[in-house]
Parts: sequence; structure tokens; C-alpha cells
Amino acid sequence: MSFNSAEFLFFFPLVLLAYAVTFHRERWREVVLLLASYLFYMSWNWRYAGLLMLSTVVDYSVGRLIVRESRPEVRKIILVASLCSNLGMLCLFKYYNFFVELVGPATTAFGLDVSFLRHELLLPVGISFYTFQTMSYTIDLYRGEKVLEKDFLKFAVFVAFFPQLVAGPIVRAKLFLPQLHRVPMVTHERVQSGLLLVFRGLFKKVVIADLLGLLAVDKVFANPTAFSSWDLLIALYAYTFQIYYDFSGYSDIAIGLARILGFDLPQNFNRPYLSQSVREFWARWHISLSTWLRDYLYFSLGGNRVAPWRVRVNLMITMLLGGLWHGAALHFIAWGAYHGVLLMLASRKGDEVVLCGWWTTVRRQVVCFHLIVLGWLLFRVQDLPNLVQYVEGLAKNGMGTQFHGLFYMILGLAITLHIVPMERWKEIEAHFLRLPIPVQASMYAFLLVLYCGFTLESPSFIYFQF
Amino acid sequence: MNLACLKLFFWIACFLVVGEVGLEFRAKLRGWESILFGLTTSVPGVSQGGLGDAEFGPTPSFPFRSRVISMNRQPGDHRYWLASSSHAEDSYLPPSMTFPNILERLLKEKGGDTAVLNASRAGIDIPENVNDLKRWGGQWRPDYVILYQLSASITSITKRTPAGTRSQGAPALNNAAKLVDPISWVNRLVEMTTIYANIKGQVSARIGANRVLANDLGLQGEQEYSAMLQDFIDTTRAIESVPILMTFATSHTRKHLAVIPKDIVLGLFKYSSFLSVEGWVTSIERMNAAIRRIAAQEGIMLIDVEDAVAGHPEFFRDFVHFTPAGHEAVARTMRDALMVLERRKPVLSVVQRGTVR
Repeated sequence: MSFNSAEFLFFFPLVLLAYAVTFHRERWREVVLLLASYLFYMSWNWRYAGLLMLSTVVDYSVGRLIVRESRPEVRKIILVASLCSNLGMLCLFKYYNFFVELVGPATTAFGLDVSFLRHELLLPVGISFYTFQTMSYTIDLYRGEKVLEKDFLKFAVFVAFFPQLVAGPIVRAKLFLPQLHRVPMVTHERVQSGLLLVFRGLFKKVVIADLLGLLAVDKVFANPTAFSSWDLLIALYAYTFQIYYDFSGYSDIAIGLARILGFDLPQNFNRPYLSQSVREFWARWHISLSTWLRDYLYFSLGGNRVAPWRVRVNLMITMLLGGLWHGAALHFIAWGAYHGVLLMLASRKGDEVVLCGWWTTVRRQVVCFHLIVLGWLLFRVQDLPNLVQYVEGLAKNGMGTQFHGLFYMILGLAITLHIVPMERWKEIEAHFLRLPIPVQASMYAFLLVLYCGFTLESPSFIYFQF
Repeated sequence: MNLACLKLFFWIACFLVVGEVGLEFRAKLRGWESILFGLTTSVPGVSQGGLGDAEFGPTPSFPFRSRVISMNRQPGDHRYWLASSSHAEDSYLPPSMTFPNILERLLKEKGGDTAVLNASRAGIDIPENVNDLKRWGGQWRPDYVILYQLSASITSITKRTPAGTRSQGAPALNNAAKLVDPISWVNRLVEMTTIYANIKGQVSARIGANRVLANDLGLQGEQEYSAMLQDFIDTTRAIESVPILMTFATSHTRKHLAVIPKDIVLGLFKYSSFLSVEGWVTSIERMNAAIRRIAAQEGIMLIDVEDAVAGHPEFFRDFVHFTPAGHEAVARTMRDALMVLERRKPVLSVVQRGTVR
């Protein structure tokens, strides 16, 4: 059950109704949220709800143990045990087969066949997100932050909260748990603005991201040899916007749904393609992940308080693991390494000098944007032959286009929406929210129907696989 | 929080319900199927009550949309099994006006006891036809099993070939796609609404026409279709019946490519937007050639419906579905071809495994 599915159209209003009925009884309200979250998660595969519960129980218990324990070495052992449990689960489902395949050729050379070690388990949706979320809770406690949650029910809601369960934003305990301890702020205005965010997210997903994929990107990446250099180039730009609108659309929906339920989730995107440097890009793209990697990985490695060469190594390790987080495939690691190199270069001489030197802001943005676009090529290709085909095609396949006008219109819309200042959008949204409720509702109903027409094949969100 | 906070949701629901009811009423006036008003017919002279003639199935014990008969065979009678999809089921018409049942009437006019079991259901493809045959073929023991199936096969094949690469926007493995079951009861409910049907025709089809469309299913598609045909032939022979193949007919052929009406083109993209119009025509030509080749190789009777009715728009209500006149024309073409079999003894007593001479 994805946010853009018909099931969710029925699921959320029902949850909202139950939530409204139980709203003034804290315990019942939390039970409704927890049940809804588990139902939502089990709609993909009910068996994996056990994993979510296991992760919840382990980190809840570990959190209490860490706080009770005063001996540093024992606290460390408890933390390591918790990390092993969380990362072990992640490795088993997400990386195990990848590593078996990676060592396969080497072992074959010695006459060993390790293919029997592969398993056929499907990757549980959202495991990377909720694992990171629970890990941050334990690490925060270990570092002495006062985020301990004694109430198991509240902790379980924090881990499983359905709006952000399967694709983020990755929420920190210190941001979310305090919200569970007070009465959620559900007002008519917040419901209105939350719903507007949901529809904005749906628009980004259904109208822009999905159509860019359906009208061009998927076909081009599936068979680059069949398209001209122009089409390959445009499809690469289109993918750049597709992945942004897909993921930021999801984040908007998640933040909007949470707001309707009375909770605040952190912003996850801030017009990343207007960045003037790669470092700035990472401060604007998937903010909850990049800050997670910074706070719990980069800083743990020493951050930038070590020798310059170590800083660069730390950056590279962080980005490599960031790439690997996105998926168990070499092209994700290559993408991480690419960004690691860019950040290393930036840390060596300063962003402005390396990336654009004396260029103007706009030129910096253009250069940075194209560095990012190049990175998305590594991210999107299936494998090395696919990459070679694509790059060769870019150089050799000539001009001409197979794309229709609608595709160029959508791409133009994607670029325009990205450039228009946030303040302008906020003004438009404020105007909309002042309209009478029936007028707003009629427009939402119309958009909902229109989205059904746009959803040709209900593609899932790209980030679900991570 | 109180329920008043949710009034926006109530208003949205109201607008959706009002919109649906309004469109359903409009659909009723135009003779289309809807949730509230059920199935009606737009065919002149056909009353709504005539759609489900009492003497026709399906019933719980008779899974065919044809005249209800006993499972037991009488000596000397002929029994045909027609495997198809919406082309032969055609729920917009009374069973008596669909070509399998017209065929039965025409064959009976020539004397002899003949039954045609219409084992066709909308939306199914050859593998489902084969499953039906495995499930019920042994009990109902047809002498001949006729297959009329192509457009549904093309749609399903396109989704598995590079021409129909599904939009996942996803690199490498896409677990989410593997995990999501798109055919839930909620999906079905939404798809039954008239709003959905309208938006699918007005918006989805137009978007579909703007995709990068393939101009042919290619050899891979042909091979997949041929394998399905072979499976059908083998299954039919396994129940000791004789397979018969039919070529597939469409309202417009290659020579009409430039003049295909827009509503027919949009109809093509409504549920499948992987092939261009030319791609459809080319693929149908390719598959019809495969049908002819396999029929010749296997020594199977071929009924060339394409030759008889293709390119006659008056026989079609869209690109692939027949008007009453079309059903009549197809039935007559089949009757002419099958008369040679009618003069013989039923296969069940002769057991000519697989070959009609």
C-alpha cells in the first residue's frame, strides 16, 4: 500500500476517523497509531512486521540498559551489541547476497562454489530507514542525550510511525518522542495545510516524476542504443528531476500526513539543484540522511578535527557507505565514491575555488548541477555495460528525438517549479488556503480523479527499494 | 481535535460521490455499464432484460456463456469449445448475439446436434484459456477446441518485453515492485467506478499516446506467442480433442493506418500503451503469420477470420471487438469452415489425435 495507491485512499480516512474518535484518550490514540502503522507495513508483506517489532524491542531494551549502566566499557558493549543487531539485520536482508556474489568469482578460482549460500529473501520495505532511526536513538543515549523513552508503546509508535516508516524522513528521537508526550496539535488550519502538502507531494510524484519516467527515462535507460545522443542527454536531465520529484514528493506526503495527525517531521529537501557546491547539495538533498551520516558516521570517525588527509578519508568512507546505503550494487558504491571525490576536492581547496573559482553564482549553480547530473548517471544505470552503452550513445548516436511534446512540457514544468522561489509558492498556498472549504475540496476531488488518470501503472516510489 | 477538523475530507468524499453518481447516470443514459445501474446495452432493439437469457450460462454448474446443456454426450453429436476473451464473451450483448452462439445456431440449421461451449471471459489470455481447458475440458469432452485470442496476448507480452519496460524509475533491483500486489479488491472497486473509466479514457489514453512507443513486438514477442499457441495445442491434444486455430481480425489494417478514427486510437492506448498504432498492426500481422505457420506445421485446421472480416469497420465497435453484424460475419465464416467437420463423425468416436484431414 503506497501513498499513491487506491488502498491508501481508503486506509488513511479510516485511520483518521479512528484517530479522531480516540484522540482525547492518550493510550487509545497511540494504539490506533501503532495498529495503523503495522497494518500499513504489513500490507507489503505481513511476515516482515516481526522484523520491525524485533528492532523495536531490541532498541527499547538496549536504551534502558545503556541509561541504567554507568560503567563506560559495559555501555560500549551494549551499544556494540545493539549496532550488531541492527546492522546484522540490514546486512542479512540487503547486503548478504551482494557480498556472496562479490566473492563468488574469487572462490570459484579456488574450486569453491558459494552460490548455495545465496538466500531468496525479499528486502523488507523501509528497513534502511527504520534501522537508521532506531540506531540513532541508541547512539544518542550512549552519547548522553536525554532521549530515553520508558513507555514501550510510545517508543513503538516512534519506530513504526507510518507516514515516514518506509521512505523517511529519518526522524530523530529527540524531535519525535517529545511530540508523543504532549497532545498532538490538530487544528483545522494544520489539517488544511497538511492536506495541501499531501496533494503537492502527489502532484510531484504522479504528474512529474512518474510521467518523466513513463514518457522517456525508463525506455531510454532500458535500451540506450535505440536513442539519439540528444534523447540520452535529455533523459539524463529528466532522470535528475524524476528522482528529485519522486523522493521529495514522498517526503511532502509524509510530512503532510504527519501534520494532519498533529506531528511535525523535519524538512527533507530544499531545492537541491540550486546548490552552488556539492557540499551545499548535501545540505539540501535528503537532509535527514545526510545529517544522520554526518552526526553518526562522519563525526564518529573524527570528522574534520583530525589531520587533513584523515578528513578526506573520513569523507570518502562516509560517502561510500552512503552510496552503499542506497543499495547493494556496485553502481551505488561508485556513485558514493564519485561524491566522496567531489567532497574531498572541495575540502582540499574550498568549494568555490575547486568547483567554479571566480565564476558567478549562476555559473556555480550550473557547474554544480552538471556534476550532480553526472553522478545520477552512475546511480541510475543497471551495470557497467549499461553505463558504457549510455556514454557511447551520448557521444555517437547523433541528433533527433523520439520524445513527444508532452514530455518536454513536463520537463519544463519540473525545471520551472524547482526554480520558482519558495516565498512565491508560500504566497500561492496561502491564497489557496483562504478559499472556502467546499471550493478547496472540489479542487482536491478533481485532482484526485486526475491523478487516477495520470497513474498509468502505479509505479512505486524509487526510494522504497532503499 | 474534533470531527469538525476533518470537514475538508467529508467535502472531498461528497464531491467524489456526487461526481460518480452523476457520471453513472450519464453512463446509464448512454447504455454503458455502471456500478449503480448495472449492465445495460446500447444495441438498438436489444432490451436490457435480454442480456441474460435464461437458457444461457454461465451457471454454478455450467461455466460457459452459451446455451446450457448436459455434461453427458449423446452419440453422434458434435461439441465445440471456443476459447477466447472479451471478443467472444461480449457482455454488452445478449449471449445469443455473440458469435459462438450464432455459430451453434447456424450449424444446427444444417442438421445434426451441435453444441458450442463458449469458454471465453473478458481479460483472460491464452494461459488462462489453457487452464480452463485443463480444469473443465476432461469433463465436458469437446471434439474440437477453437482458439481466438491475440490482442490480450499482445498486451500481456508487451509488459514482459523491452518494448513494455514497466515504469519503476528504479535502478537495479526493485523490491517494492515485487512486494506490491496491484490487484487488490480496493483496486478492483476503484476500477469499477465510472469516474475511473472516464478518466482512463480521457487522460490515461492520451498520456499513453505520448510515450515512446514501439513499432513492433519483435521476434521475442512472436516466440512467446508461438509458445503459448503450442501450449494450447498440446493441452487440447492431451484431452483427446482437436485444436483449431483462428487468425485475428481488426477493424483497420495497414492500408487504413492513416484514417483510423481517433476514438479507436485512444481506445488502444486506454489499457495498453506500449505499442504505437503501427506497432499494433505490425504485431498483429506478425502473429497472424505465426498462427498460419503453426497451423500448417501441426496440420491443424485454420479459420481465416482476418481474411473475411478485417478492415471492415462496420463489423467492429472498436479496434478488436465486434458489432452484432461482426459477430454474425465471424460466425458465418466459421460455419463455412467447420461444415467439413460436421459431415464427419464426432472426434470422440474416431479419436484422430490432433489432425483434421
